[in-house]
Amino acid sequence: MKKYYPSKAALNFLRLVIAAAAIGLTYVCFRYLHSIEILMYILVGIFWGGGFALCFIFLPLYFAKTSYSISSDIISKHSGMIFTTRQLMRGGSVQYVTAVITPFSRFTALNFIVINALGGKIFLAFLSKKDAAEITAALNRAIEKKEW
Amino acid sequence: MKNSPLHIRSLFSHRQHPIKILGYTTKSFWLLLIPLARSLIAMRFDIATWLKGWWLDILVILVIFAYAVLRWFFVTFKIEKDHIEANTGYFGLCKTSIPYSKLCTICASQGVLYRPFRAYKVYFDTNSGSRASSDIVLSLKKSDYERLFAYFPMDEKGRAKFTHAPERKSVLIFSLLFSSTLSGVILFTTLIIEVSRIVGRELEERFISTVNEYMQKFAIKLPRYVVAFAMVIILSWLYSFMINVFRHWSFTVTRQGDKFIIKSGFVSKRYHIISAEKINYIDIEQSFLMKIFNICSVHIHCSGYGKGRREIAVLIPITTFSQVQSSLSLLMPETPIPDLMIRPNKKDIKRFLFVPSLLCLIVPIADFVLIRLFPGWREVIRFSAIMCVIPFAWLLAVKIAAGFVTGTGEEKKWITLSYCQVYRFHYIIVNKNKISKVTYFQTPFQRRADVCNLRINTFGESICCHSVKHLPLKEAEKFVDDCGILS
Repeated sequence: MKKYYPSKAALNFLRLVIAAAAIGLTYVCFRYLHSIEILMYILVGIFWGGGFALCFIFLPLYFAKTSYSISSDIISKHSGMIFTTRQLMRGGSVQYVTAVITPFSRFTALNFIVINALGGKIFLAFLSKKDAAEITAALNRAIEKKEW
Repeated sequence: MKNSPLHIRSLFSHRQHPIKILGYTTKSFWLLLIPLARSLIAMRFDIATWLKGWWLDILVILVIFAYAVLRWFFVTFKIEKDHIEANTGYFGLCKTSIPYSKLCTICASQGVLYRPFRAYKVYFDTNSGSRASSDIVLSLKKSDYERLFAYFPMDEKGRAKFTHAPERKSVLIFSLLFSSTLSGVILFTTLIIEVSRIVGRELEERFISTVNEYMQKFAIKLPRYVVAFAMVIILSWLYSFMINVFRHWSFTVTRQGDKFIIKSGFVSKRYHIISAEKINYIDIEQSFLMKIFNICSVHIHCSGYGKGRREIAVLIPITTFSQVQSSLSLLMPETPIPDLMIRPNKKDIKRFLFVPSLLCLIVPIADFVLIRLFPGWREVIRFSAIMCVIPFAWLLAVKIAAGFVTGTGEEKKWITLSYCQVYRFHYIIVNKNKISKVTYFQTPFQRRADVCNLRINTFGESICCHSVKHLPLKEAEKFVDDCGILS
């Protein structure tokens, strides 16, 4: 059974995106809400507070608590910070695999895999490009060879 | 000229029944015909003047009709010995071939419009494809229908068969219990809208004036909005009830060999042929009232059955819980009903009551606050609060019962999942091989008590999840491992 984790590159990329969004929203607030100062400062506070919580609490916890395991007969996913889930999928029920590889994913790690089975699916998010390719190849090989 | 009948015959062979052309016209086609016919009558059948005055409307209708004929022309099919092939979609561009061995359900229906023309609508369903629609839908002539069903004989001589035909009163009770006000409201509103589109606003106005009359009668004792609300609920529910009665009247289910033959319907006759091995699970369903009276309804989950509009995938409409075992042993002898082995701990039963108790508490608080804020609306707010608290209090009672009946068990290759989903109790019997995914879900409160919600996904065209709540985590894990659910 090989274990995979979401890539740290995705965490850093998401932090960058959130920081950029916070800066952009702050600019919009200063530009258009300067006449209502209280509202402007409240909104700016919310954006930066929310951004900080996302970047340094929510996302690191999400990345730390998420892991995927692929073995010859079971695919499993552990995830969740407040509500924890452990999903186990029977390999034999897998019908097909959908891989979403975004441009520049070597740097952003925005690679996703959806494993579709009869009556259920498992979503593997933020995998490094290498891991995504490896998992997709392994699953497709197993489906083709009918190992399951 | 000599060959012309042959040409005509070849035009119609491998094509659907010509009645389907009407089905391919737009929904508003009839709306265009009414003013045209009315004008023709008004002009005392003076065709020349009529054509001159209404040529654009006639042209539009002809175009719609020609387009429908073209669609009918391009949709072709072949009934072979081991598979069916159909060119469907716009201009027959989608070619689908389904081997009979892959079919889960074949459904033939004959509605009021189809019966005089001896046409049948046949739905073919496999385990893949869309959940909302069938893989192939064809309107067949009687000869094609008979040719197709010769490969799926309804009565195989020399093979034992068992037929279960519930009494009419059972069908009535079933329709009574499975009629929903919400679906009734939707259907009733659709009916009123559709009818008012065809015959104008006359009927709608007459209905409203009748409602007003009744409202005036009752206005001495009850506020008008209460009467209006009650009328909408009662009429909608009655409509849903009538639909259910018509749909499930003369219901019979026959098991012969590896297939089920289900016949039902009063206005629209329906025949389902279901492959027994393609049934994903059996669901013994109960509402709280049914639980009190110890009756239940047995449903099956199989692609294609229960897919039609307002159709319930029922196997035994109404039976007592004690009779289920004997009925199922005849209809599905290979399926045991495993007893529950793991249940929530007694101290965890309070967890079932958390949400409904909270909802029951919120309503009086909201009522108190809103009356203080809007004293002029006191009557409406109080009425709404009472209307809200009734379903929440009912939910509380249901969840108390759920705490005692939730659990899971195993026998041979079969797993039982007993749980309550909102107001409905489900007792699922599923073969281990039809389970695709197992999830252990924990909230922070459950994590502290080491309990979990065991979610089991079964085979189906769409995501099919059964959640057995508040089971001890370690016991649930041991159960999944010991039963070899995922092996």
